[in-house]
Amino acid sequence: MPRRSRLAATATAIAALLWAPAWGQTRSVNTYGVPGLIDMPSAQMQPDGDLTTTLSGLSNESGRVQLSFQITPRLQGVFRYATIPDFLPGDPGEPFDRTYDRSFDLRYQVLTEGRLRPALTVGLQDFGGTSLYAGEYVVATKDVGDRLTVTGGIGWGRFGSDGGFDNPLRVFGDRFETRPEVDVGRGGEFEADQWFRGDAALFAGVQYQFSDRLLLKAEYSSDAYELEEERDILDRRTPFNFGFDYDLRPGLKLGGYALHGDEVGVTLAFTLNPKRSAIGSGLEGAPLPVTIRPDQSARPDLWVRSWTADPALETTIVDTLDTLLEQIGLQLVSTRIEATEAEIRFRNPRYGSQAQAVGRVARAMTGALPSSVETFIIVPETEEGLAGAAVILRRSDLERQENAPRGAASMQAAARLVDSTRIPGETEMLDAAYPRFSWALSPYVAFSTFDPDNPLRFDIGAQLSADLQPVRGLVFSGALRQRLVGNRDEADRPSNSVLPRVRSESFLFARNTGPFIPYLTGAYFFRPAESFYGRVSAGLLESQYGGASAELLWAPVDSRLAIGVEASQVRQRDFEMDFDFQDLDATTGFVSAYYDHGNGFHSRLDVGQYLAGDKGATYELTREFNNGWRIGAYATKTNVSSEDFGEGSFDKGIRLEIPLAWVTGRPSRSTGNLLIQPILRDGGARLRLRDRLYPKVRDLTEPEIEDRWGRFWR
Amino acid sequence: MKRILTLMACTLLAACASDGAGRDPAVDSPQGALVAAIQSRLTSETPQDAREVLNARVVAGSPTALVLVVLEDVDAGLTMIPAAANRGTEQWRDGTGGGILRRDGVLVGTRGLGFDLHNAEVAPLRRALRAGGGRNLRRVNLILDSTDRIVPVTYQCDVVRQGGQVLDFYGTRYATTIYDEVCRGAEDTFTNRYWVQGNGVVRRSVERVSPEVGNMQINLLKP
Repeated sequence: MPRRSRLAATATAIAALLWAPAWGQTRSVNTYGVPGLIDMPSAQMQPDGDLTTTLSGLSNESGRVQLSFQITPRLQGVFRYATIPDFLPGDPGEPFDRTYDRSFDLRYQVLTEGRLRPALTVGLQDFGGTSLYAGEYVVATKDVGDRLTVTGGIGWGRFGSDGGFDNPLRVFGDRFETRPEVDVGRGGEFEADQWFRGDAALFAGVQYQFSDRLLLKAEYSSDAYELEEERDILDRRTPFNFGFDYDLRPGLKLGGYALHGDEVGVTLAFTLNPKRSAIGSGLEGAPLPVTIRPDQSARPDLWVRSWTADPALETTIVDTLDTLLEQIGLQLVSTRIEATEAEIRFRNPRYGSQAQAVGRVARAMTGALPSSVETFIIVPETEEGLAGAAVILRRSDLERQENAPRGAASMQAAARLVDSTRIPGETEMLDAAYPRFSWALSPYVAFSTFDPDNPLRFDIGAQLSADLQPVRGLVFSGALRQRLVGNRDEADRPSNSVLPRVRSESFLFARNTGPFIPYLTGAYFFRPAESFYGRVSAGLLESQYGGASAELLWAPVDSRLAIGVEASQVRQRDFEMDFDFQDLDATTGFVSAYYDHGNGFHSRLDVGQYLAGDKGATYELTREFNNGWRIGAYATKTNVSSEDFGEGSFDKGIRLEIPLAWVTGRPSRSTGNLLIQPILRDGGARLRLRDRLYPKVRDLTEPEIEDRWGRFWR
Repeated sequence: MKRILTLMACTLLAACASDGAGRDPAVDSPQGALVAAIQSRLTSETPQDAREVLNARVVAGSPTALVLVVLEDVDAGLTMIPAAANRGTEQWRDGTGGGILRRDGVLVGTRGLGFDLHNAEVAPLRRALRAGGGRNLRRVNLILDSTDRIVPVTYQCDVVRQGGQVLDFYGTRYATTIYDEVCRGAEDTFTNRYWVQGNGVVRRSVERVSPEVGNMQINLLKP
């Protein structure tokens, strides 16, 4: 094992000491995962970007896991997975069953706190689930002095179930007087006709900062716990609740509370913020320095252009470039070297920021190219050989700006980015560039979630994967997996879907205990014209489907908008995931639009035909951070009715992507991905293609490169 | 036992890949990174502190210029040698690629510490060190934050002469004048200290890198 860098070791020690100040401002959360008291919410918000995971458990064996995200400084969203014992009627003569419930919240801070004015927040709790926890509220919170925080609010639904009075909103119409019976149905619908309806009630509470780490809380709760009392799950003896919150370490809070004089509970809240890495800007060392050319008047012999007549010299230059790029973790693919201009195409398997990779290549070029070469054209390519933007730099700017305090901004202003198809002249491919072959043996983890019989199942196994690229753009990929341990094969709830069972029998695939092929494909990637990218692929496209797929993407390098068209003809694979197929055929295709709104928000809209033959659209809104963090939510609505769709009513989910470099501080393009899909049904189901174009080429466009330009000199 | 064997298997698996992959599976997959982190904790050795091996003979025998850098918050010492100089800024490197940037003896950048100083505008400070002090000098520290933005942090600083001191670097003595640079910003304050020889060479300095990293002592052992 290589000896660790002393500086890196020191930095790691600093990071360990430091995990602390990164999370200083996180608010105490209630048992529903939002800033608040015990059960009641406050009007406070978390710091922008905070991602808080809250676990809360009661002594009656109820529990909730919540993921809350501060979407904007004033808007917060929550996903909740809860369980309550003895809640659902069982079979006749049998005891009640434990229930598992998924729900979503949204809350918006209408007013921020001022010197005299309290913060004011409107919240919808469990607005898109089974309505088990459904409630709405308007709440005000004000700090009084340095230690005391006072909260008061009015609530409806659960928050209006104790001490209720006539709804003051009835002045806007009779419809506010009564709250319709919840049509729990299959859950998942937006029960808008419930919101702010029926009796309202008041709630209040105080928080007292006893010490730097200890916060004391007391509240008057307006939640009658009617459903729980009906089932003898909780005996509500008093409306008062008491609790505390203790900062175990910054970003980690432990809370305890007494609920209605009957139960005690604990909460554990863990917070991350994409904007605050514990490693800062990364642990990678300094780049190669810029090699400064001698003054032309002093050494005119080193500025001559006659070197172009010597082919051996060009070979030496290319070899030097290849070596220098290899030293910095990049792969030289092709070159075009002329007397005053040089074009370099390379692959970047290391740096999350293409601007950082371009900056490092530029410095390597100063060390390898003769003095007469003034214009550098630097073209990053994808692993599949697709090139997007070409970055054009002047060498004299590099020499001038290398150590300048505002050198990155100056280089950004001086750089030109154009579509690489517009660069005239052909680059010469390195002999070593193709064919390429690579393989890897690595562990894999696969999860199955939200099965009422066992909400979290997983398999751990080994994967042997390989890629072969005979020529640029043509890629043969495959993998073989073998499960080593796991329990995903224990799922045995049969599908009750009335649609073609395109996904609802996924558990049958998970039962395979032998070796299986998650994918085995041949694909060709190409640039048919300026601003266009193309892909055709065929084979075992994913673990459950094989067939053929084609895609065309329009993505100008300077545009925030991209549009793609994709079509696939597939057949469902055998449950053994070998080379056999079942009888289920599907034709699926989409028109997709991708738009970068700025400020880190990105939209994606897919319109087309899904695997089960249903037609509709998927909309996904994602907040992205320049460092690669992505947190998004999507919803799909097709022409399948809620009844035919089944539990959940329509497909929806939350997507989380965490860059590995943010965690380790080491340069990496890998990310950890998490898809929280509460219900996996057949409506709105899509192919899980590995090679969609937009994710591959988006960081080769000007907006993406410039967003991360701060790393150019890093 | 079965779980231990599984973990061992995963550990082995995390490190296998062809060179042609272009990636290190030990750090380029979340699972691999996790296992690599565990491996690293189990097997890493603490690098030797440069202060334990430096002596007059080593310094005199160094074929290049040499600085001793001490990170005060973690009490770690390391040596660096010059890598390049461009328009008055020197790049110094340690043995594994981390480094610092100095302009006229003033720290203007660090690399490899995580919460690095990306660059700094310190021209008024450099003039003040030559002129014997100064008041209300503008310093801008440029920080590369976790979202790849370069954030300027502005300070108002006073440079005040504090007296003289003779430094002894492994038997070689240098007469210096001490200057304190007291800086006040919107979020924080800090004080840097410089030991400046009569010819203007900054022989020693204690300079704040960032609030997270703390102070770095830089000793110019051999120019």
